[in-house]
Amino acid sequence: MSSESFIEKIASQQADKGLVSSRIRTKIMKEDVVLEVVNLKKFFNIPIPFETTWFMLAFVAAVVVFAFSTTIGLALMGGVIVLYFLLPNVPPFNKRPKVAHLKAVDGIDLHIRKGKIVGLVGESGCGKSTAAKTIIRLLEPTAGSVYFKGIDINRLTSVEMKEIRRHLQIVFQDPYASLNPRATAHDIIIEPFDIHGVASGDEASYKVLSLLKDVGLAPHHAYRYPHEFSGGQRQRLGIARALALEPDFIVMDEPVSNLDVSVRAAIIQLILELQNKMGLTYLFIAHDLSLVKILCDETNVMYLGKIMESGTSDEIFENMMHPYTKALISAVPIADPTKRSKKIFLTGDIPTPINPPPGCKFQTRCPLVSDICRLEEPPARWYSATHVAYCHNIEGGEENPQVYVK
Amino acid sequence: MSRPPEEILLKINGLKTYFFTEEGVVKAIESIDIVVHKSETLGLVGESGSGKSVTALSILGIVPDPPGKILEGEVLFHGQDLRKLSDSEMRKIRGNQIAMIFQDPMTSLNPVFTVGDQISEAIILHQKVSKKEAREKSIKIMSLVGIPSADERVDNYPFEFSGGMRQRVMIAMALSCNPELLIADEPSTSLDVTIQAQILELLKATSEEFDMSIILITHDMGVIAEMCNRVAVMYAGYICEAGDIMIIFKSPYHPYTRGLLGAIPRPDAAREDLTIIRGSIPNLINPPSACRFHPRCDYWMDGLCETVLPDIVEIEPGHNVRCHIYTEEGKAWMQQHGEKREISTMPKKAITG
Repeated sequence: MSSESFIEKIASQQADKGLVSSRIRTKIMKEDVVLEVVNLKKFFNIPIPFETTWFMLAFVAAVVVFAFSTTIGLALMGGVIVLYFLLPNVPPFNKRPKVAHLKAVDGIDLHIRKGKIVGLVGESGCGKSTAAKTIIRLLEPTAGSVYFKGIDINRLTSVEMKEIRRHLQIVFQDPYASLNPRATAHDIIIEPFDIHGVASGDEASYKVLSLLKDVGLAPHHAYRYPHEFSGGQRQRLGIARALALEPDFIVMDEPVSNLDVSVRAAIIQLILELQNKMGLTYLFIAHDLSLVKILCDETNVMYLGKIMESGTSDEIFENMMHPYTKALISAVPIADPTKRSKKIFLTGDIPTPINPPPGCKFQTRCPLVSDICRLEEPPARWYSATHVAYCHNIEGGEENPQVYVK
Repeated sequence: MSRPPEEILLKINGLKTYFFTEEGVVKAIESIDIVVHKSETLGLVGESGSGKSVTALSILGIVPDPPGKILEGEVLFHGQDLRKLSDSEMRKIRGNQIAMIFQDPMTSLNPVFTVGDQISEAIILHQKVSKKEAREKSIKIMSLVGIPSADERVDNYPFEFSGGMRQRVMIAMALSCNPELLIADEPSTSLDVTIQAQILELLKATSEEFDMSIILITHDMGVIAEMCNRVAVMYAGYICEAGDIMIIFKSPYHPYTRGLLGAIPRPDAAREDLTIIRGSIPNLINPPSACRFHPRCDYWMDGLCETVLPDIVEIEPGHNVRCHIYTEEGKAWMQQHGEKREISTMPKKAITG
């Protein structure tokens, strides 16, 4: 069965069961949305180490018993103490371990239309990469849904998911860590063909060579190991692997952050070329805002697991509304000495996402912070049908984007 | 930005540093000439592997030896050649008159001592004060670099600080003896943009306050544009172009500078304006002959660039370029071959303003 009709079949099955709401379905059909992310959440549970009081209590009790015990009691208590100190992470008696929630991604919405490059920017630790991995289901979301061409991918069985995975690929930040050091370039790229039974033998090898050519590597590179490539070439290899199964959608997780400027420009050019040639759709994750500005059609600014502002790149960079976006953009050094900009300095660092305070996530560093920010989540303010910012203290905007839709 | 003729603080002439490794001799620095004036910020920019950090280590005389060795050249600080000083004399200058901030604050701070101890160490060494006074001074300098509640934080260990705060500790340590020259080796590379902006602002403010010169090593042209008065562009062990940033950013003369500026997204540029430098930085064990940039250069003059090393040409006072487009040999070659190699005014889009 062809892949397209497989997607159709699954989509209609899910629609029949009422798993995908008709609102999302019409949106996907009408606007050609490749990927729709609705209120996606990913929390990590972090066990909190046990407080020592339990051990101290046990120890004191043991000492007390020891003082009054006969030899049998002594041996018994000794055994208990030894057990306690040998197994320090065993919960005391029937207590369950305490757990904190690290809210890496806390309810983000995205829609990615066909053929677009959508940027996701933010500081390190804001949940960009977790979001990316959750979107292609390398991580299971805590809540929320991801619809790929109308299919809720989180409801698929592993067999169905394997079929869909062909269309969802990822290029990782560190091309060295994400390539198997013991496999040659040829082995790395041929693996997807084997797994999906697309091609084998000479045909597969031929495809490998043509992929290498597509990403600007030479045929003789096929039998080299990752360590024999330079950083830029390694990233090309990572891209070739992602392209092997002719996907529709590729997540680019900081693909150029580790590269030198001159190499970076070459990889960017390759990414754009491939998009033109194959009609790909990208989710481009980056912390380099000047790059996002020229590369992406739409930009989403993320902070501590939440989207702060999103819109087309023009709207974000020319008409940003959110105080975080303003600070972030002003902080980017501009390679033009005649334009030394006035900077907005944020005080302090990005706070930890473990048990964050209620209200706006940005409250601890925001220059506009007021009392309401510490109590309530900020509402959406729409400045056009595509441009939305979430803040209590910004002027203008509409509560409902429908105002802009004629 | 016309400034009066300044006092020269540091002058490097013909510095040459090689590393004698098992694989071969790494010719990291072939010939470097740098001038740093008093209270100016000089940017040293280039791709990774171009020898920026080795230059910094060579100035301070802390090139790991073996395998590294400074072979030639002089490093004149206040007119005094640092290379001729004895170890103990050098130790008096290092950390006192010339201080350095390293790229990765986590690996350059000692994890088993409190930051207070580490800042005090330099103060005690150079200023002959008691431990208690040194601690007071440490607290003062820590609050100066913007570490909140410094009197408590002074007893913390490096792991208890965030990345930005650790870099502030490094800066505090470097500033503790009021150095005249600060060498900052990629001080903001591993930090987020918002933190980077804070750290750069701090460096700028302190350099003005202490009337301190800075050599800022980075690969980010944006940081250079924001921070520096002058810039030196390094490629594979040579300075290929040096001059006032206004001139370099507006009309770069060297093909490599031009390529480097074209490869970064500019504020008003479009996708099409990103240009590419072919190939990658050479292996310095077997570097290309003569002009080391010639295999990647669009202006390669066949028969000249790979045989004769171009001399430094002074385009105008303070603006030096090492490229055959401007040398007599190059002009002769162009005449002989009837070809014209000229750097057009700017990478496609000229800066307005």
